[in-house]
Amino acid sequence: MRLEETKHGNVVVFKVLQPRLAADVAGPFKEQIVQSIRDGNRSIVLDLQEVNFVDSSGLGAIVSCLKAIAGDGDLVICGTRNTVASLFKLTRMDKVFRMFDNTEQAIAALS
Amino acid sequence: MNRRFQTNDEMYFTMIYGVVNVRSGLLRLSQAGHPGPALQRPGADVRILGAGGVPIGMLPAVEYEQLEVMLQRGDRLFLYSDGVTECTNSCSVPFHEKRLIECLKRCESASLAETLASVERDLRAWNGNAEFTDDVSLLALEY
Repeated sequence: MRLEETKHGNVVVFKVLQPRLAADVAGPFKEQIVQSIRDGNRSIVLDLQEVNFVDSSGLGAIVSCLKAIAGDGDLVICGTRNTVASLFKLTRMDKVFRMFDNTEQAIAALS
Repeated sequence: MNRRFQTNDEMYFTMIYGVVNVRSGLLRLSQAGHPGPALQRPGADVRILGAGGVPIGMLPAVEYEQLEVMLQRGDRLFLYSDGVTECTNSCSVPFHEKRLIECLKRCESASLAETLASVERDLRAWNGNAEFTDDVSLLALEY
């Protein structure tokens, strides 16, 4: 799972560096982000600009990360495009998550 | 149903729930993360119904909207799994709603059975006649 983690003040950005967030990587993806939440990080940006496909496992993992924050912090999404943006709209995840065009906007919103 | 299927793991499912009054033609449906049905009216463009919804079991306390459509005689409703629209070709291009709609428009005068067969042919050709990687289902109703 190619997931890049960077810190910007109190905001942690997780950027998925592979085009598919699917069943084969959903587990490690979730584990890394949930561990960051357990470590005390409460302002998280998930950057999906490199992702062009998310399957049901990937979407479930993203939602699990949101549940791990349990209302005590923010997990926002940026960079969704094409089929991923359509999936978020179809499943109303674009209303569940705060959505931003890019990491700069997302970081600014959480800072 | 959403309350009943809440779990501690990441399992969820998508669905379309609909009721048709066959006398009046009133169709009521709710959408839970499932692709919106395609409504084909004779002489008109095919349109995709619904504005989306949260899948069942994904999140608690979700309100589901109800969509109402008054069906007219000759209207056709096509429900399908995302295995249809997300089926990719050798260049990883998805079949997409637009190709499904193109096929439905081409088959406007054909029977339902012929229409479904035509969609299947188009989809198999798109997939390069390989084995499908996701479930593919398609349901056709004519009022």
